[in-house]
Amino acid sequence: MLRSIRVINPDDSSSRAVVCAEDMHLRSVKKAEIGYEPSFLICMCIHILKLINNELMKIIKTDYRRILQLSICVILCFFGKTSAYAQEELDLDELLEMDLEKIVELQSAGRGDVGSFGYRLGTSNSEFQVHGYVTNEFINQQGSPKTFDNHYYNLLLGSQIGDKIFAEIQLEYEHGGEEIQARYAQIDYRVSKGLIFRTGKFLVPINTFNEYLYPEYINKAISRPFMNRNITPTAWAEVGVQIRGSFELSSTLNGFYSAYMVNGLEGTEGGDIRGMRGNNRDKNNGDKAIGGRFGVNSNKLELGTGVYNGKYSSDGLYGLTIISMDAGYLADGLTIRAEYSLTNMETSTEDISRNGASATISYVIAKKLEPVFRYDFMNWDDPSDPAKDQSRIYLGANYLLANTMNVKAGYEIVTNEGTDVEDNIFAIQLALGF
Amino acid sequence: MKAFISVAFFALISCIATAQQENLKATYLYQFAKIIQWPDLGDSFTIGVWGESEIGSVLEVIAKSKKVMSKDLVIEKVNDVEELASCQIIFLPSASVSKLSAVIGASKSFDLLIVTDGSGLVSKGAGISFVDVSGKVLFELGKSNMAKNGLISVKLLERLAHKVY
Repeated sequence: MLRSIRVINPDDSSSRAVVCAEDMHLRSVKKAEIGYEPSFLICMCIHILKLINNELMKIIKTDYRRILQLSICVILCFFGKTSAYAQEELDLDELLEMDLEKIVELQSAGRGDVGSFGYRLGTSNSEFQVHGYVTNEFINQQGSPKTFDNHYYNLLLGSQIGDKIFAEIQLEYEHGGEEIQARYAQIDYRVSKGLIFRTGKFLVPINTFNEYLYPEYINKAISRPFMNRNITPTAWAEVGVQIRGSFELSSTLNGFYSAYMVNGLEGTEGGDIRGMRGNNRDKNNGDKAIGGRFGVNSNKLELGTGVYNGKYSSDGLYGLTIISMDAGYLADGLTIRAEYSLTNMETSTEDISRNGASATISYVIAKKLEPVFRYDFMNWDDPSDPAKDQSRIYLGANYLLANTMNVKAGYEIVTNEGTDVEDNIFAIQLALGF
Repeated sequence: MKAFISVAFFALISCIATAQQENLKATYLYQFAKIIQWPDLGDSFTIGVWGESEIGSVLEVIAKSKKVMSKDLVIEKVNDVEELASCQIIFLPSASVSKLSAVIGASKSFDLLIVTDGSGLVSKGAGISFVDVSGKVLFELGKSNMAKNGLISVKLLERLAHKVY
């Protein structure tokens, strides 16, 4: 914009008027382009503030209580609106990151609503499972009173979130007693079929029996082999971390593996391994036990071997190694299983080597009746008490009421080395998995 | 004094709750757009909002950063049933539910998801309607109403709906 240049006489009022008019015009252009001139704004603000201040002082002097109330309201509303806008932006970003299920979950159970963690989790994308197994028995053992036994009523509670996360706990309610304990309580995260992370308290993958076969609705015999009580003491669970998985070796053969690090067994020097379980938190030493299992399986055959190694004494001086091997063959109603385990337990004198084995064969007749034969033994390696070396023949028959329910009747002929103690057992068992 | 503070406090809570509800309803609409299988889509996906509604503003924010089935999300302010033909979803705020019968009548010839805000509106023909359940925003689903508008409700919606009609 061109601006006329004129010689201005300071005494000429008409000239001053022209300059002012031109100056005002220029200011209006500036306002349109860059806003108000700062000095002008500041002057206006100061003037307005003075007016407000004067009026406020008058009001405050006459009605200070009302002003105080109004101020609190204004402050609260200001912060309310500010936080509302802040919340609005935050919530929208968060909401947009969620899927519809998560949004509905948040809406279905929130603050001031019914229920608690269980209810709120119940609205999430998870599937909850309640299962369990029951074992009721009548036992007639030589030298002992006949008794009924509500051996187990164990609950299996689990949840699956998507196809990757699996949580499960087994709550054991044994012999109708009052104590309930967790046999295992684990979380699995499946990266792929070949890689699964497991944490928590989990069954030690030492052999097939401990991980897959011990519940009575699956186990063919009424009792467990000696070996699975005192060498690899089922149910044997430890607290730690594990990786596991399976992979295809051929069209008919799969491989599987597991490797773990756990707090490990802990007990007295040369003691009973069964009594070393339950070291859920390391309190005496920080030594960790390691182990693993690997094997192959097909539709009919399974072979595996597991190992465990760690310090077992409270002072962390003495180590324990357990090796277990197992084999299974299943075809057309025929089941053959065998397991062998041996241990090497360090002591202050000489190492103790215990071992045991079991072999079971059964055959399903007419889809309902299943005769069972088992032989098992255990060598305790204690010359001072040879009776701890035991062997047993089990003869029995199972009637299959359903896939996961059977009635068993069995007779056990027990041999205790070096003694003539007779403690044969006749027992009837009803086992149900649900 | 206490009365003033109480009023201000409830005003504060009301501001927050209203903003959250608008965000939620707008996000729901966006999620519906993603989940439902639409028979025919053009170059863009259009959500219409009838009349004045803050939800339209929130949807505009969403549309700046999100797409629906790889298509641009367009938000349109609708004031006449003639404008419905370009929409895949029409949202009738609670203040505009009186237009529901007109929208239903006008949308018989094309695929349109009618979403309303209020209880009892699914029984009047809405495909989906937001409902207030103990202060929470959930939705009711009208399977047959959606079918009448050429849309098939997906299992996920049926599972998550507060009620399915």
